Amino acid sequence: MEDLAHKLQQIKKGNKEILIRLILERKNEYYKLAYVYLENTEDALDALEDMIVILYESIKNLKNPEAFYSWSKKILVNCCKQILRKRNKIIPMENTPEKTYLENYDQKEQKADLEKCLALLSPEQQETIKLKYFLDMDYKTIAQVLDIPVGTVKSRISIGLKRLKDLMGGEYYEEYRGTIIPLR
Amino acid sequence: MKNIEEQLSRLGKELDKLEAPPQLELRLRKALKEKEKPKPKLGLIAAILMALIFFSYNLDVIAYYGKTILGYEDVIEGPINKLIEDNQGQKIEKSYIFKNGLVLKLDGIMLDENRLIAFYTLDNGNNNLEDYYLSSLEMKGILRYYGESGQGKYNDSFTRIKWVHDFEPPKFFERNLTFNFTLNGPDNYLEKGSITFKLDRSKAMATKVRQKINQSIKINDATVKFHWITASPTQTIIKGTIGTPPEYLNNLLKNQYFRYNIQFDLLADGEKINHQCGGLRTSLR
Repeated sequence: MEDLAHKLQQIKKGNKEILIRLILERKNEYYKLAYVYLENTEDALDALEDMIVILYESIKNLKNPEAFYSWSKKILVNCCKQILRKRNKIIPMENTPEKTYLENYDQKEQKADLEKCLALLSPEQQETIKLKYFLDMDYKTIAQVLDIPVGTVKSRISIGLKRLKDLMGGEYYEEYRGTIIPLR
Repeated sequence: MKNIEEQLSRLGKELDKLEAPPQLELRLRKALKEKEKPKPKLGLIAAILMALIFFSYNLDVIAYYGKTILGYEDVIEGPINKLIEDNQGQKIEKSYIFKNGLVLKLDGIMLDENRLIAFYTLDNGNNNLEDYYLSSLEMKGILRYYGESGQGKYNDSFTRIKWVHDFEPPKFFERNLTFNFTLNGPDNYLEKGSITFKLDRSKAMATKVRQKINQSIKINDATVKFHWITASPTQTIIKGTIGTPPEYLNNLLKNQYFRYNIQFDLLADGEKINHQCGGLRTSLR
């Protein structure tokens, strides 16, 4: 950790190379996080670019070196959300790119159902569930990355899972114009 | 519930195959390339607008040269030669002949801290010159120095014009300069030309006076401070500021947003010197 503190000190003095290496050391973690939100390579790379610029410009505000990774991921998530907001302004939702990373899943129908149902949850529930189950993050890390209390993370996940279960129950939904609308 | 969680985790497993693309490193590098070193936190600072003023004055000397040079008959044999003999300028006497027969002759230059002055003649033999003009004037050394302003005068038969043109002063490291110009004429006539010469600084006019004034006077609510004066044989420049930070702050607090303006005269040995130009700008302090 002292090593990290030293590196951060160097970055604060303007050493870009160390910052790039720090990110590249965990590049897959960062990339997957961006991908979970954006679901395509190009946007994920854009988000990472935005992130590294913000990191470089605001690293002077980071007081605790241990928090570097959660802090940088929090910034990445915000960059992703920024891109999503722009995308929503431009492209209608039904044209969003295919979810390629799910393509090889063997139980295709079940997968499709799960995906569709997941999409019906609130964005907050979706993101906490994705962070927990797709990226294997623990509650504490999710709370840090999303900048919300741990209790909120837990409740979002449990409510989200419950709603997913209801939706997946089979008897409670039907297909309507290609979208699943839960019956009231 | 367990089943849902398992399904979700299985979906997530697909992500494990995902790897950051190789271009990531390049993209990160590119994104940071333009960024400058993060600036240290400045803390709370009051933004105060300061007005910087500068005024320049024609000394009589340039008025004298200007008059005599522009009255062409007197130029070569008269004062400019004397000026050059007195080491007050550098004789160049190089010509460029355009394809249509027009000749541009760079007679000489003068140089001081404030500007470079070029004296040149455009000559069309016995033909009328009024349809022609020069544009894109610059002095090119290691850097480029653009023409700022100038004035020219025709001879009586309008076959020749004599110009005095100001350029930004070349930096101290410049040795060889190229005078670039474009001749524009009737029927979309366009021709570029250049004259190269060696800058002889021993002949360039030196600054005569450069000293601090550092005196303030209070006029109404504003303090006017004169910082320094630079007087070269061709030009005198006085720089200073209007208003002090507390005065600006006071104005801001009173919700008064205005710009100062000032007029003053420069007297040399009791005589008023003609005001040539002046400027006022504000800056953040």
